[in-house]
Amino acid sequence: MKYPVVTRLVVALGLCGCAPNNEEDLRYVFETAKPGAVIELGEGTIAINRSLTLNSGGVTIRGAGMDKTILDFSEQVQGAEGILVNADDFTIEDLTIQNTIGDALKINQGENVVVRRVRTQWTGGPQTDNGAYGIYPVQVNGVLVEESVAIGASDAGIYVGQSRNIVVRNNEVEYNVAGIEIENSQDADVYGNTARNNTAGILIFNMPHLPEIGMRTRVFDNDMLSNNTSNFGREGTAVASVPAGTGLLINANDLVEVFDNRFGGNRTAHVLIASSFDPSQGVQETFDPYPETIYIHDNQYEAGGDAPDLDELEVLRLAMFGEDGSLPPIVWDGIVNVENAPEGRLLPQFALCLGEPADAELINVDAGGGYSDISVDMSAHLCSHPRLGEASHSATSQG
Amino acid sequence: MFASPAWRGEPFCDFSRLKLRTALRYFLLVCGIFLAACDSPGGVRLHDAAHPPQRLSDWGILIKEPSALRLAEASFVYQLNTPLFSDYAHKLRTLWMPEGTQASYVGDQVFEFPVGTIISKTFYYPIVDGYPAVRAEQILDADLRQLDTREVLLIETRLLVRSEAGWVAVPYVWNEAQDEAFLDITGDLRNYSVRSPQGQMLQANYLIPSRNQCANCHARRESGGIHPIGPKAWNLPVAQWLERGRLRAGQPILRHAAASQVRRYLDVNCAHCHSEEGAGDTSGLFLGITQTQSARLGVCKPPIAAGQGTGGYRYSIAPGSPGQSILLYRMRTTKPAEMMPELGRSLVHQAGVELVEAWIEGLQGHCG
Repeated sequence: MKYPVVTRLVVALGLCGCAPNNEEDLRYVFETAKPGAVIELGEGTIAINRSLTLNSGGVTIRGAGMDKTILDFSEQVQGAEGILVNADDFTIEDLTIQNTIGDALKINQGENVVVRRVRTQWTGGPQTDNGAYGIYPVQVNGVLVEESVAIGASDAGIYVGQSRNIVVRNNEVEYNVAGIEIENSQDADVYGNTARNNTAGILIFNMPHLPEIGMRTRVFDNDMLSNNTSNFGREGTAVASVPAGTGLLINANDLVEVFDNRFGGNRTAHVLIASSFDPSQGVQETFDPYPETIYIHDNQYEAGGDAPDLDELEVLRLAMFGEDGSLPPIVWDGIVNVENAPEGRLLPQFALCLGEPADAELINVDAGGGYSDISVDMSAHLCSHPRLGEASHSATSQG
Repeated sequence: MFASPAWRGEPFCDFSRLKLRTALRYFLLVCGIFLAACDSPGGVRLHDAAHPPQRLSDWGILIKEPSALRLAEASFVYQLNTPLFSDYAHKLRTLWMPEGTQASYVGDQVFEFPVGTIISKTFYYPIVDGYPAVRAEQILDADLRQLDTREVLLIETRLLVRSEAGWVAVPYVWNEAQDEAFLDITGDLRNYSVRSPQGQMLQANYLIPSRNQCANCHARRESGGIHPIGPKAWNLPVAQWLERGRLRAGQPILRHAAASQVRRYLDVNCAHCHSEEGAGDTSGLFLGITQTQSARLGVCKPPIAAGQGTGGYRYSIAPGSPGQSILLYRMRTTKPAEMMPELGRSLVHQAGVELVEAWIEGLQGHCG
């Protein structure tokens, strides 16, 4: 339905004092928002069938609460996202975006983006046909995602890609393939989050063929609990090969510090540390596929590792720890850059450190050697690294 | 916008025979006194593109007459060697530049056009036996000044107006009566039954993009703002432009003219996003005609954030195996969350698929 020009102006100017409550008005407001505009949305559900796109800087979109303002894309027929933003100084808060056919909220390029108390969800449970990402800032400098909820993404609930200066805190993520994923990003703090019932709780990832190499991420004070949902990712995506039952996965990323977290019920491993996951994947020559300078300390570990979702690990569990046994909390593929490990052991500055003394056991499964030279020797890991500094979510901070 | 703020938002007069500055003075002296737009046949009236008129006809670029679409005098109808696929819609492209001005080469990039330039692109389907129909790609002679509108369904006309601050997109949508196009910045979805040359009925879910969606394809990151996509030297009949005086004579960058048909196709259909300046650079896939690194073209490259779009395959391009290549999968699917391009297509471009399929089939090598 088209509205007369006068009606549109009234809506845009807010003269009627009413918030847009249908797709056409909402789209008009997105299209005409001036820099600095605040778009207020009232209570209720707005059904939307085409992507909404926002390009103006400094805009705030504010709902009446994630249980009260629902943008429902169940009938969406066009667009690879629900909301696509390409703008600086963007804030979105207090609403739900649900059942988009692709990503729910994608913010592609910008500075200083805030996502606060936003829920993205697919209401039909974990399904491969769900959209890939819930909250998805990519190539953003200055990211804050807080007090938000992400449910049912077929890739990652909260996915921060190729970004800098990132804070992801106090969110709840469940029934996604990856709960929270920080990929090819620098200077991130991930804390106060609860990742439960995902395939894998939190992923710190590097992918090849991208200009930004991820590093310097702190993961602390999170709960990573019972992330055992069968992997429902689309084959061919990176996360589709992640075993269910993973609390935290560090893949090919450097300078990661993990502390004060609580792990429980993750049946493959509480912490999995791996080089680029599938060695047969095409990897560019300049890409560093090895996770280095990883420091994991002062975490709490409940039961876990008792039913790995990876044949090699399950065989190993049975062989080494028996029918009722469990893998140690930290599982490392043991693949190292031989240039940084002159005598088969990583140089101190690259080591995988678990503190002195360590508060958790580690198993090196020798994935590079065909799972033959398994080791639970902790001597190479009784070390520490300099603590990483606090991350900021401001684009102006120096990483 | 173009010069003096004194006439912001006002319609402008016959502009086609005057130089820009002269025309401005003319307007202030004549039109300003009578407070009405001068309406000379064939005349172009300039407007502040940030506050465009509601009716397309107010520009004087395209005027709908009972059986014809009349173009402004001095309009230049041009075609691209390789056009972007848009659900088999035909496109009438016109260029209008202030008298005495010319476009100029900018290396591999789109030409630089003078302030005051108006590029129009009208999307339409020919009507055959009552249905919009797919016909041969080029039914319009480049010299054609008029389109018999009794035999076409006019959908939308997009203007790109070159202001001093940069390009502005002004989208118009044709009404049901087909006698006027109205400003529509929010866009629309239209269902069309389109008849293929073989008589097959195709159901198009034709997207008229919103103004912000225009920027999804037309925006460049580093330089900011939006830009035309099509008119670059290798994709235009340059000799014709020179002959008509539309292009400043110089050394054209034509080394890509020899590029293969498939690389031209990928450039035109993909590289507005999949370039260093485009939104698709997040994927690490770069499909411009100048790209020489096979991994950046997608050969044996794993996807970054393709989501459903992988189709279950591991590489953008698996040499020799088009059926296992994500790039081709995304051209073949019409699911909005999976397909490429993301905007502006709801049908499969069969000829494009066959072109890319044959190319991948012929690539040598093995991944992993």
